[in-house]
Amino acid sequence: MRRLLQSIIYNRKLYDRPQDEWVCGRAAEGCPCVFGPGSQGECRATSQCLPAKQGDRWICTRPISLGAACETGPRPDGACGCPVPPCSPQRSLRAQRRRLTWLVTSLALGLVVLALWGWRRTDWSNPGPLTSQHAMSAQRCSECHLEDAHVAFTGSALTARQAEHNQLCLKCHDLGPHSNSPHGAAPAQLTALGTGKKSAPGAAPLVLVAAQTVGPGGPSDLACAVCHQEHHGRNFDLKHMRDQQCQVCHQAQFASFGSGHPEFSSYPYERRTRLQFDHVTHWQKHFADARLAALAPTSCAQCHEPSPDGRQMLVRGYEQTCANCHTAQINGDDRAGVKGLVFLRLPEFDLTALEAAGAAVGEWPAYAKGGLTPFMRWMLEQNAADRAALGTLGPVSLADLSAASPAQKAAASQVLWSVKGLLADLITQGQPAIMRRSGAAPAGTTPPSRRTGQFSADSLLAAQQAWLPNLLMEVAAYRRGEKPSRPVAVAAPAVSRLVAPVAAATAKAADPDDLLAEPDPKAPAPSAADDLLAADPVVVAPAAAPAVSPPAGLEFDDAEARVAEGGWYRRDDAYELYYRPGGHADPFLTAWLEATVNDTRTTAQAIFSQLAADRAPGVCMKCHTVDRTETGALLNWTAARPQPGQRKFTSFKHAAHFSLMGDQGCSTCHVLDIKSDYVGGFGANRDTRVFHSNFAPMTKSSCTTCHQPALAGASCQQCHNYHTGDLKSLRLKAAEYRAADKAAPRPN
Amino acid sequence: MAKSASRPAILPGSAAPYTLAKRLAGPERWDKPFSEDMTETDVDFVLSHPLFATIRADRFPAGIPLRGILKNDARIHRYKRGEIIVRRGDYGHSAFVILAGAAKVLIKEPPAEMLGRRQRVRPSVWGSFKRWLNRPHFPEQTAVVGAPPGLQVGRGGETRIFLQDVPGVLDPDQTILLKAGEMFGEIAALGRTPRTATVVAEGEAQLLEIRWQGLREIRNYSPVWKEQIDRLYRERSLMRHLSETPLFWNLPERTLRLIADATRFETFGELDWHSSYQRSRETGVQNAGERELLEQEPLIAREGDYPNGLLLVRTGFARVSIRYNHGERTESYIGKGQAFGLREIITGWRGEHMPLRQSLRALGYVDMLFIPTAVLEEHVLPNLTPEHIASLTLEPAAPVKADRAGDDFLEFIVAQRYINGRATMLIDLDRCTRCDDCVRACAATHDNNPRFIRQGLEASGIMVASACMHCIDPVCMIGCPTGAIHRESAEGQVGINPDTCIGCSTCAQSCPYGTIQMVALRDEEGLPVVTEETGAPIRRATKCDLCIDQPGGPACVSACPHDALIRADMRSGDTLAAWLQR
Amino acid sequence: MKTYLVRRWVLSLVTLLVGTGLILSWQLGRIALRPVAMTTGWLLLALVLALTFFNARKKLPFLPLLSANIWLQIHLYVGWISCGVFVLHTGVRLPDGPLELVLAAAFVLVALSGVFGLWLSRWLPPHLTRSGESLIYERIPMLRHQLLEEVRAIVRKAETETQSTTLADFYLRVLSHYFARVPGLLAPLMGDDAAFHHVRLELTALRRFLDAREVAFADQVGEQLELKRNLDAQLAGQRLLKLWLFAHIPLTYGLLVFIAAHVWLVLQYSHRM
Repeated sequence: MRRLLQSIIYNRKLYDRPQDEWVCGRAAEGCPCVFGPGSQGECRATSQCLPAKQGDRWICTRPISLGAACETGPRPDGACGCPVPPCSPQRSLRAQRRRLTWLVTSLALGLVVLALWGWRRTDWSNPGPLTSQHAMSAQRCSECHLEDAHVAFTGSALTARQAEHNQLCLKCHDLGPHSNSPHGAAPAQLTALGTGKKSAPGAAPLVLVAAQTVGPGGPSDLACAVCHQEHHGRNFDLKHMRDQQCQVCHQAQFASFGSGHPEFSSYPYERRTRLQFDHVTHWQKHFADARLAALAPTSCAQCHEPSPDGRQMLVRGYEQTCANCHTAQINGDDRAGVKGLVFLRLPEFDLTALEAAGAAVGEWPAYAKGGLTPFMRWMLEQNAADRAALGTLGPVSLADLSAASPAQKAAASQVLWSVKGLLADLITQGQPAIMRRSGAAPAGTTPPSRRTGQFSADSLLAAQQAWLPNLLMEVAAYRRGEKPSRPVAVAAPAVSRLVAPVAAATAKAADPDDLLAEPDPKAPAPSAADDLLAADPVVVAPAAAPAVSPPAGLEFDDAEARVAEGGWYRRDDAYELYYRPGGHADPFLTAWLEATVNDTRTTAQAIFSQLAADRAPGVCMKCHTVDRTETGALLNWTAARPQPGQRKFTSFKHAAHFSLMGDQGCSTCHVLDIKSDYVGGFGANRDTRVFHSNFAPMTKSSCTTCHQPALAGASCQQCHNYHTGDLKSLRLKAAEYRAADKAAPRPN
Repeated sequence: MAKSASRPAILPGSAAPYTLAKRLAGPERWDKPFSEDMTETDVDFVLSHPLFATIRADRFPAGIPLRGILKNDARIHRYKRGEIIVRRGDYGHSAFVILAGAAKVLIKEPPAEMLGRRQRVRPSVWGSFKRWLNRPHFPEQTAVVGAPPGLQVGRGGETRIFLQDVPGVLDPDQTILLKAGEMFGEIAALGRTPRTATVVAEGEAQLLEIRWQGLREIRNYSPVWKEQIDRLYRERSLMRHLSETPLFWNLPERTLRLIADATRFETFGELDWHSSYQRSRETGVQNAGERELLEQEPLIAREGDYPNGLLLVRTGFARVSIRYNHGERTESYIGKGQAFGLREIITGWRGEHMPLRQSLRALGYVDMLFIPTAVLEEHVLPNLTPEHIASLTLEPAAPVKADRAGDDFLEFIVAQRYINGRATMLIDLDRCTRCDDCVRACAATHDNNPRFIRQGLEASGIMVASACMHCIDPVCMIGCPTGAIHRESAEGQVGINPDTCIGCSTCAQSCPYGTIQMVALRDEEGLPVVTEETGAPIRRATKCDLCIDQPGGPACVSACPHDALIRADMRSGDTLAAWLQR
Repeated sequence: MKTYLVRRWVLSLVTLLVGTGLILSWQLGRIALRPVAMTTGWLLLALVLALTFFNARKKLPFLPLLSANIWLQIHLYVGWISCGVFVLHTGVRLPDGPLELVLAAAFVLVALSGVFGLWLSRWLPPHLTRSGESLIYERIPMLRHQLLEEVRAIVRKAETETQSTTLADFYLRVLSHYFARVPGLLAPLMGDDAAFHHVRLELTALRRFLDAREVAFADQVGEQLELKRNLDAQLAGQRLLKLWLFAHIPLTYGLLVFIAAHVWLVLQYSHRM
């Protein structure tokens, strides 16, 4: 049996005190003093015992556990015989541990204080490097954080705090008015999106159902930080989202794009084309025509080109696309009848009735025909008095005032003199007069200057000399307030012998080769005011001839022909001044169309319907359409153009897919739909959503062949944008930044 | 000790075995007499007293004459009025004979502090928290110690306690009067049981106090006394004791009395076994010579003998062992109230002869009741229902079966007498990380003073730390002059009242397990407190109080993070086994 | 709990379940765009505080809270869970900021030291038990001193009684060093018996030159050797069992400080809570 080192006899041992702070330095030698260290760890050693006095002798009281009474015994004076040399008390193990704990804790504390308030605080307490986009703000916490944000715990306080923080993001990132509603969409739009969407086929994946029980953060919880988490490194992808995260809010939930994603309803044909161009008829009929082989395009790329960013496919300009076939039609070269627009006319007045009423008429042709042209009315109505006069006249025709009241007669005479004044002004002042009298142009439309159509005062002067030689004196006198001399019935001007044969025109009009000819050149629409002459073969209106008759060998061509590329000409027999448009995008027409499209006044409408008429000169509105928008009608002069500001829910990059096209080229995806009633969507209809596309809608299958997780990828973000609406590029923040800085000064 | 070893076993028809023992020299206990003041004149005075006049001195062996007994094992006390002679619950080691005057037995127990005992504090978290908050920093630091009311510390540690407010307590209807010539305290003296009542001197009283050794001799050699003592015992507690043993349940009063009359009282081993046991320890030898120790244990019944009687343990412990090769292997142990040999008796009664299958040896001091087989067969067994018999003849479950620790552990705890423990601190050394949390918890709950030492004997990975075991047989209480060490409660926690402890270190010396430590008190500066007259440091006995004033129970147990520590009650073997077999 | 094995199985299973539940809900939270970083952060804070409270429980043993061994079990398994939550909180990514980096490092160190400590406290005690009498750590220096004295006494006695300096020389050459030596820090991990065996072999080698009386002394020395071996084993083992806490506990408090700073920063600056 082995020996035990530690005795188990009661008086050979002492209680161990592991909890004490200090241990006697002599404990190791096995002879600790009776006193033990003081509370501060000072040695209080004197002796090994306190001798006790029995009778007259001292006895040693050293406990047996410390070796019982010593041999030497106490000194005679009662002091201990074996005094203990002072020791240096040791800290106990636990005391040492406690000190170490304090040390570590205070070190940590110091470190923390430095990190939070030290001079390198922005570096030390920075939870991580910012992405390169935001790197410049690394040293300026207050740009993105509320430095003195009060800690919030209640729900409302939290949302408020979030909103405040979002404002800091929105300082630079403009997300439009509904910045913290989902997708930046207006609530109405959201509900619209929510309703009527067909839910995904098949059951929603379990994980998403479960996630919904957790409850996705609603609009109140839409902090920017929900998706964009910063301080995760320079190259951290701030925009990355998992598909499930996208889907968790959505009603229609599905496993993946391949399985469960709804079919495309009408994508990408979501509105009526801006230009009325029937791909079906063109490809089926016209381009197939052998005679046009030279002109017809052979591939889509001839008319369409990718936008610079390669997303949309754009329609090339007029010159590269339509011009080849349609220029002549626009110029009206080979159209039957009048190719110009009546701008001015001496209207027919009931001179006898006026004279009977005692109105001074002055000089006026007896055989004037027709009434005021819409343009004249427009220019007259700019003058209040004339507008009133025209008002009083109302439906009464100037040509027959027999039944008119005296007031109306007076009004008529005033109109007569106003017309004279208008003519005089146009002659004497020219284009500025027109501009002055055509009123202001609504913002965004072409300026009034374009409405003059390079009007030439001289041609009107010549006309006036032919029609009303004394006009200028009369007007001058009238404005002086003199009564004009007695009325002079102007004789009809001498009819020239050089007659422009209408037959030629009609013959030309009957040209069967003319693909662009109107259905029935023989019977033009009687409604068209400018086709009066063509409509009425009896009255042959010879072109006005210059006063001077040409010498032999020289012939005047028809006035119309002489302004084949557009310009002004007149007809003396009807006392009319015409404008003939020249080529595509004629400024005069575009200007007047824009000026009148949104104008509800009868005059304006008259002008617009005149210009927009199916067979109006320039036939603008044959291809160009009018959209109804909230702000009124919108004239589509061009095909769709990329709008950098606008983000849609879907984005598709054509250029990226070119390499994947099969033999059938674009029609790999864009399949012509022959049966669709494309034209039906146009005409009187101005609603862009009412339309029939030329093309069959896309099928998902055409995407899923490549877009699988393993191949081209099938994540939501590949085709869908979260932030939609008109996202402007980064705001210029200098001003706000300074303001914000004043609001929340950075502590340092 | 050789004496007890030489004592024969119970043989068929054997009379009380003691008569066979012969002594040559006076017992060594007479080297240190009970009291120095006992003069020859006193002895004569006592002998002249009618009680002793009846004793025939010639019956006594030459080695132990009656005079010698009275001179060395007895002393005369003179009590003033209201002085407490014995206190209920104290462990006495002597009996009292009233020579003159009278004493009163208090039926209603007066409040504890009236008897100079500490008032039990009710455990409360807040209380312990406050204690912890203003815990002193120096070891054993205390306020200046003063004697409690009623305690007088005389020279030689002899103390006298006076009952406070005598008239209030001593009203006649609450007390029984004991007149001259009557004896009391003999049960506690012989049976090592706590005093059953408090006795107070009525007026001037003169009492003869006889310590248990002397009383035993007188009882042995004076039939009159034997008869009287046994009668007293039979009257005062045997009946109760019997009726408590399962075998005699539902027996009519009359039968019980028959059995009581037939019952013999037998005592084995020496009452102060702990001192010799300690001596064996002092030599520093533990398991070594365990067999010798075993041999020295007095044999009560030998394996293979005819069971001529049922043995009931009254106090103490006995080892049930079985012969194995050259040694004896411990099967189990039996303690107070347990019986031995019943199974054999019943099988014998059924017809086939069956000798005892195990030996029974006294561990230290055992006090037994011997009920002859004949009496059982006549009165008890016939009245028993078969199932009752079946239940009784079941193989008794050994406290610690062969387990991870193995038989070795059983041998160990028996050999080291740890079976005495009711709250023995066992530490599973394979779990214990020696983190000392138990010690610190103990300190935190005891004014910054640990009250046990995490060290002790080890067997098969289990350490028995030196913490008070709150023994079933608390030898430490014997001889406490002030009764400062006492049973705290019915559960039997042993506590020391610091106010009445005079630091005589009697308890510390008598504790066989060395779990009581004498500590030198310190003052607020942490300097030793010394007595005025001698300047010797004042010591005080300290030990584990089982956190009796803590709401959470023993702090050491609840503080062990690795549940490596329990306070095991050695009587409930199965819980102990369960713990060992985790 | 019936046995340790059952307890271990049950608790591990529970922990596993809780862990998986946490991971799942974390995933869902991320999908649902909830502020999972915040949630896990608060959870982690709560767990760490709960873990730290174990220490307070030890300091106030009288509180009738659950007993320390239940606390330890909670500490262990909650510790495992908190490791998981920590991984979730960092988003399975190394933190980018300096402060966060230090914080994470502190956490990892505390966790590692904890795991190491757990392993030690389960692996070492049986070794110590088998090594021999388990000594009380604080007493070991004293006991070493005592052993040395005893050996010296034996040798001196041998010298005086046998008039030979063989043992004395041996003492000067070998024993004095061996009995004075203190084992290395990591001795228990690398079985540090070499020195003991070396000395004992030398002693046995010496015996053949000794006469009967000297051999008796040599045997006494051998007994002392055995005791010294155990002494060293006890010292080294118990020291290691105490030293790992020197990493675990101080770091924990450092960690708490960093956590506080972290929480403060987040509450101040986070866009989303």
